[in-house]
Amino acid sequence: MSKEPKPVAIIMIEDDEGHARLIEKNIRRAGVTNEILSFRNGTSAVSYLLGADGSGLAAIGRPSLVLLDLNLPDMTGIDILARLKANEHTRRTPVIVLTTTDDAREIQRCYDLGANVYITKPLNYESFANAIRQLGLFLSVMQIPELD
Amino acid sequence: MLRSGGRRFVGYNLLLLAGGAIVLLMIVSAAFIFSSRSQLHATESLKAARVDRLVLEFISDLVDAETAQRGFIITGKEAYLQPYEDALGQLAKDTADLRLRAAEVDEGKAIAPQSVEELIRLGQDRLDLISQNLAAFRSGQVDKLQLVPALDRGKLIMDQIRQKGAAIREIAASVRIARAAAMRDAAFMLTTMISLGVAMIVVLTAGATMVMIRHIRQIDEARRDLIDINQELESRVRERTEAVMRTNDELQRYAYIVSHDLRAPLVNIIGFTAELESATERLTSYVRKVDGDPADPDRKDALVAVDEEIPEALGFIRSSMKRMDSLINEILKLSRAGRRVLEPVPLDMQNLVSECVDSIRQRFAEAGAEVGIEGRLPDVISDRSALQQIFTNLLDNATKYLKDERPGKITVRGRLERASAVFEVEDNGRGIAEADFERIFELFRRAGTQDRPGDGIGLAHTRMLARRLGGDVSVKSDGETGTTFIVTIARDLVLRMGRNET
Repeated sequence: MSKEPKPVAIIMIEDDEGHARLIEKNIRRAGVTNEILSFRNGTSAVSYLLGADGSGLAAIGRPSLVLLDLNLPDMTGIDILARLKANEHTRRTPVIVLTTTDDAREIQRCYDLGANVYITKPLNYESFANAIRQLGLFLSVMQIPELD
Repeated sequence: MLRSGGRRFVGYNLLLLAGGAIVLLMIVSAAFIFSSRSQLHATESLKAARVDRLVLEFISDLVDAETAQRGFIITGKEAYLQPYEDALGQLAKDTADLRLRAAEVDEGKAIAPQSVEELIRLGQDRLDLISQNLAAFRSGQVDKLQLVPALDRGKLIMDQIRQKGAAIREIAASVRIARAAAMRDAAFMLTTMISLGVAMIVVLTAGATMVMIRHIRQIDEARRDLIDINQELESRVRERTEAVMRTNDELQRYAYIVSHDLRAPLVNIIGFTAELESATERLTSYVRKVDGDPADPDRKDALVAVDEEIPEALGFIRSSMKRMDSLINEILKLSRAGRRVLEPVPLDMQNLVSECVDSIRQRFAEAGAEVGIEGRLPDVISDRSALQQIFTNLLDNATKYLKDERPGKITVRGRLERASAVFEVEDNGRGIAEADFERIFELFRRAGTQDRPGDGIGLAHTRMLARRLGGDVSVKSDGETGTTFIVTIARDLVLRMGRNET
């Protein structure tokens, strides 16, 4: 088990281009250099994460971390979360829900489905930037299980 | 309809009752008349019978006297004279009776007094003849054989007497028959009258019963109509409440979605404005640092841009964002309150409103306002927090818009109205123009002079809550001397919600 872990890719599923850009900027500011893959809608993100056949085999040997927005044009983030956590190959992939909703029931549902972290996008930019930067720091020390 | 039916019912029944009374009176008086008439006929009939008997006795007395005379003449024994004497005494008595009684029959109209007198005279003749015979025989002036012609004459008189007596008896008999017939007729009349009366009473009773049955049927119909009307009314109220609640729910969802969707672009505006600011800072310090010809108009423009124009623009963007942020937060707050699950519990409203008053007592003191609860507020089964919010909002509003020139006076009162409780919060403040009565309940809308802080949220919130509690809120004001807010809520929210679930 002395194998160096592969670099983790950050999968950002966010339909709002502006949000995606702000998140990326602030993660980079925290010194995180991992590859960030950005998806604008649920369909393309799911087909990347679980593979075109939806089996999840595509995820093998590809450690990743998911940043998930709940309001997507084609499906809700909750659906994506449920499918990732239900698939044998992706269920250990950390999912960070990053969204505008701060409804208590919504947060609870995400955790029930297996979300690892839930962050509300603060409207105050200072706090927003701060939260993302701290998330970046968190990501830089986080251990992601290697799938095989 | 029921009322007029009732009046008609009473009218009919009085009429039938009066009819019954008249019929009974008729029966009673008929019975009286006919029985007294029967009595009269019976008496008259008895009188006639007595005359008949007296005539017979009169004749039999004469026969007795004659027999005694004959016995004496044949045997010559004095012993036969005793019955003769007896018969004479009896005859005198019977004659007097006959005269008296005959005159009584039909008030003397039936038997002519002459015929009675003739009978009596004939009787007397016969007696005279007997006494002459006796006297002659006793004195020995005549023997038996010489008496034969006298006896023959006596028989002749006797035959005449029998004839006369028979004639009188005949009259008496005919009187008796007539009276008996009259009695029978009276009895028949009485029976007929009673039967008729009974028939009429039966008819009247049947009529009364029919009227009663019809009336009962009318009452029953009216009662059923009333039930129908009630049910229709209830279902209409239910439909309306449901519609209001549905609209309210839709509005809540709408507000929630809108506020979330507004937030996303706002995050970008805020974020990139911050990015822009930090970029501008770098640019500004660079522009300031760069040496150049102070007379260069481009450099001057650039300095104006970084020192004045860009900060001004950013300032406006910032303050607008702040405002937008707070508006969205208010909508969210409102929408959350609207989605909160209500918990109806029995509430002592007197207590609840007093608590609301206490919680903002400081504000009343600052405004120099006096606040009081008038009478006793009705208790309800409803949601505590929603009602606290409603009363705090209304009391706060009342304090906020008092008129400076007069000391503030705020009054809370309440009453029950069917299935609802109605509360009023009245102030003597500046009032609200009628044109604004609806507007003030809309989100972010305010009315009157805008000299007080506020977002135009409070009344919208109050209306939303009142509607969720199965009622509404309305306003009354003359625009000068004060405002009254009228809050209606369901008296029993459990009942109201239960109804809407079905």
